[in-house]
Amino acid sequence: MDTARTKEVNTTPLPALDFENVCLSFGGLRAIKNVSLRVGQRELVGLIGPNGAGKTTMFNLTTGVYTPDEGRICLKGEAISGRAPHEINRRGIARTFQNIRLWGELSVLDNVRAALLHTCDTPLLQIVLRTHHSEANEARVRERARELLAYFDLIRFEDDKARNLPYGEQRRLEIARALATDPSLLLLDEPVAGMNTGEKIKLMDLIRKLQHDQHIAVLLIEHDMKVVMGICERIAVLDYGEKIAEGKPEDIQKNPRVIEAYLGTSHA
Amino acid sequence: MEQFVQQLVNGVSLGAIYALIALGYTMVYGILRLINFAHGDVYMVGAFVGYYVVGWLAPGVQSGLGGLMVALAGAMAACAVLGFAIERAAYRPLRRAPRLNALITAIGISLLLENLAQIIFGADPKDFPMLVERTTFTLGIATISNIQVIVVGTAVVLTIALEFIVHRTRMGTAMRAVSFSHDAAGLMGININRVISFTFVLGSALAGAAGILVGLYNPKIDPLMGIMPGLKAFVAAVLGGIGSIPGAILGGVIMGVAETLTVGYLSSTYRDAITFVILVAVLLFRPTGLLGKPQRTKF
Amino acid sequence: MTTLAIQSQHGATRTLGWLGVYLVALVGLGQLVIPHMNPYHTQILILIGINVILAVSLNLVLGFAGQFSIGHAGFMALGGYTSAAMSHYVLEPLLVGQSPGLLNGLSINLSFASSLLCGGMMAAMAGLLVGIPTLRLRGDYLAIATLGMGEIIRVVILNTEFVGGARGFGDIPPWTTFTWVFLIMGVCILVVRNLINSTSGRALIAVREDEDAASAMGINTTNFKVLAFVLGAFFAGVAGGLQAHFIQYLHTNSFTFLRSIEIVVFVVLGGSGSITGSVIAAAVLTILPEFLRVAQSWRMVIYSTLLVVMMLTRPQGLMGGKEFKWSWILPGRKK
Repeated sequence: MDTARTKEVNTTPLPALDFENVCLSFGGLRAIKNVSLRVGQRELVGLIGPNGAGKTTMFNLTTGVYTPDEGRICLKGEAISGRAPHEINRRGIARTFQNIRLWGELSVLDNVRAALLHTCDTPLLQIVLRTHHSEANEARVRERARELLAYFDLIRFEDDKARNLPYGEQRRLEIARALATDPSLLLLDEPVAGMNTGEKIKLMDLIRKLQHDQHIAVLLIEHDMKVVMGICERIAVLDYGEKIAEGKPEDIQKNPRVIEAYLGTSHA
Repeated sequence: MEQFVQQLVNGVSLGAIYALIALGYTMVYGILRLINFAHGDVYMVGAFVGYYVVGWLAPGVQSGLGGLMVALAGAMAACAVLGFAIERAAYRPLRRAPRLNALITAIGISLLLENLAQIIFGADPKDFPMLVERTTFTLGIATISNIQVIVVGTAVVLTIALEFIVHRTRMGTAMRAVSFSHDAAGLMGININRVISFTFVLGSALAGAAGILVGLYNPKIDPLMGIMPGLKAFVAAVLGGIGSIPGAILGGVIMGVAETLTVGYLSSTYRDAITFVILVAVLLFRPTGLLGKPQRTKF
Repeated sequence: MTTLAIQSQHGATRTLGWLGVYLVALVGLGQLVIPHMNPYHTQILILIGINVILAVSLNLVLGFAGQFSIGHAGFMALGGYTSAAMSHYVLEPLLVGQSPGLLNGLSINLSFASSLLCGGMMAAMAGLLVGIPTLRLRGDYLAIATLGMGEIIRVVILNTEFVGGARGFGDIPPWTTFTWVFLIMGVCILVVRNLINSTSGRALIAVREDEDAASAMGINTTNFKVLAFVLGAFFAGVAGGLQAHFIQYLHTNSFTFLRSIEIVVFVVLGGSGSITGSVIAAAVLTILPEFLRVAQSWRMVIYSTLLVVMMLTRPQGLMGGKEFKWSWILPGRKK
């Protein structure tokens, strides 16, 4: 699939995501304690940790749902903390959600079309009059949407309502929709949750392929260790809002702090 | 200054009535996240039930505190039943439906009650029986009427009773649990349906009482009398912090005072307008109300 | 308009071409059929048209954008009073002395157009002012805020002596015709339909379906909500102007919360998110009271019972969010 995006390769490339000493509290609860994390422009990084560790909160911080109390979040060198979510998306960060949040009443095709809004600048009057310019934009959007659906093997569902899709297809649609926004960084929140082994393998292969084809960075939250160890180049581990380890999969697997966080007796 | 204090006194007793109605709104919203549009009309029904109940009594009991007690009991009981019925028939089936549907249904029930009342009771205003002879006495620089004392007194008694129920009984604890989370409360073995019904019964009974009290204060009753007070009481609940019982009381009193002051110092054409101004101001500047807790949506 | 223009590749010309054909048909009907009709029937048609405009414009806000707006009558009032004031105080005096004829007819139509436009713009501005702060709110809170705003508008108008205040505003020139109403109705439906089917329209519906996901996908949700609100208000204002110049008298009592609810009922019973549904519901519910010649109270009892029953049994309304497609009646024609 053609991406039409060129990447300059600098000698010191800017990281896609730079989480610098970020802190976040909810009232008295310190949810994220001084977490720093970098994701390179073409890296596939995993984010793991026990439930409640703060992984989705990190996603929410990155996409602008929350603003850090301290620290900075940068996308390719530009600070984005404090901006509105839709602005952050326009700058190049897209995500999927832990609980699938598709636009149920819209068709599969329309879910992707809506996400392609950023490519469609038609003024209202032209939309209403259905001018040549407007119709051309619409055709382009539909074509691109179909391209994405085809990549995710969803074309045969294109006219079905998103809420009627089978579970696995819904998850894929969410990723397709996120990709439609043309991100440099893709955040996937438990993309294979609830799938059987066969589906998981297929999706993980697809993610790997997609990351390679699209030249994007991917940050992945997952609980399935086989999956995480299988495709991530690097893994960061969160526990109680702190990053307790970071490194290659094989190192993380042997890291005693990580093992304790998942199985340890200190969490009574 | 004298006039100001007088207005305050009048405002507080009007506010007591609004508070009683507001309590019903706030409890139902706290537990169901539903604005019960029909609540103001339940208050209207209370007034009419009182009217008919007192009318049927033997003349001897018709006046005095005895008559008042009977009227209150009758109205509160009738409204409790009405509230229960409405919840059961119209709101329970929609508990998992989109919020708009429940809102529209509530509006529908409200219209239904108003128009049925117009057919059954007749659209013309009726005179609420004068159960208590109005006397006034001066307290400092203000003139207080015995009716105002009864109104505020009854409201205070009922509020204390409510506080007792909510904080010192098991049902009250259940109510508070359900208002936090239906699912968690259900998993703890609480019968959600029963708790919700009970909440409606309580709120509606209070509205019924308010209907009687307003009858003492302002003897003309008519089928559409619930619309404005209902709205004002709702604004009171929002002002105080919807879902908060002390908030409803505080809001009610503030609304009563604000209205009285507006009529006294500005003009009576703005009597109702002040309600909407307060509403919009609250929603724009402090949607959680004075005593409400800021809500964080879990993402 | 020639067939050539209609079949042209150039999109805007095609749209305008069809609109032109529609206008010609309306004018034809207006000149040839309407004058021979029972005036009572004409009146019903005009009222239907006005209600359809109200329903479709509210559907944009309520059904497609998913915003609980229940103060629509306020915008209608604002538009109605503004255009009435424009006509009565400014335009009509300018036309005094013109003898009836083609020029006069043209002047009247131009005046009416500008008057309606003023009404619509005024309502749209109010929509902007009201929308920006209140559209931050969600669900029930938004509903109450719009209700409050509608009432505030009404009370302000009620206290404005310039437009009659409590006595009402009379002597409005009778410029509303069947042709005008149905023309504007057609435009309204066209605008909403074309907007909704476009990518932007899909984004608007996305805002309704899941606002947070929409902003995560780059959609400026506030802008879209305000857009829907302002457009809806504009058409409500124009509808108000049409009503003002039809009944020739305005009073704020026609624009209470009850009127707003009536319009909400059109949308909900027809099926929110379906233009077709709004059209059908508005038409049926405008005609129905004429058949139910019973006391107002009984009519309201039936109305409200119908509403409650509908919400309990078929909340998706008549059309359930579906639209009329040409393929339903013309087999073989693809969308």
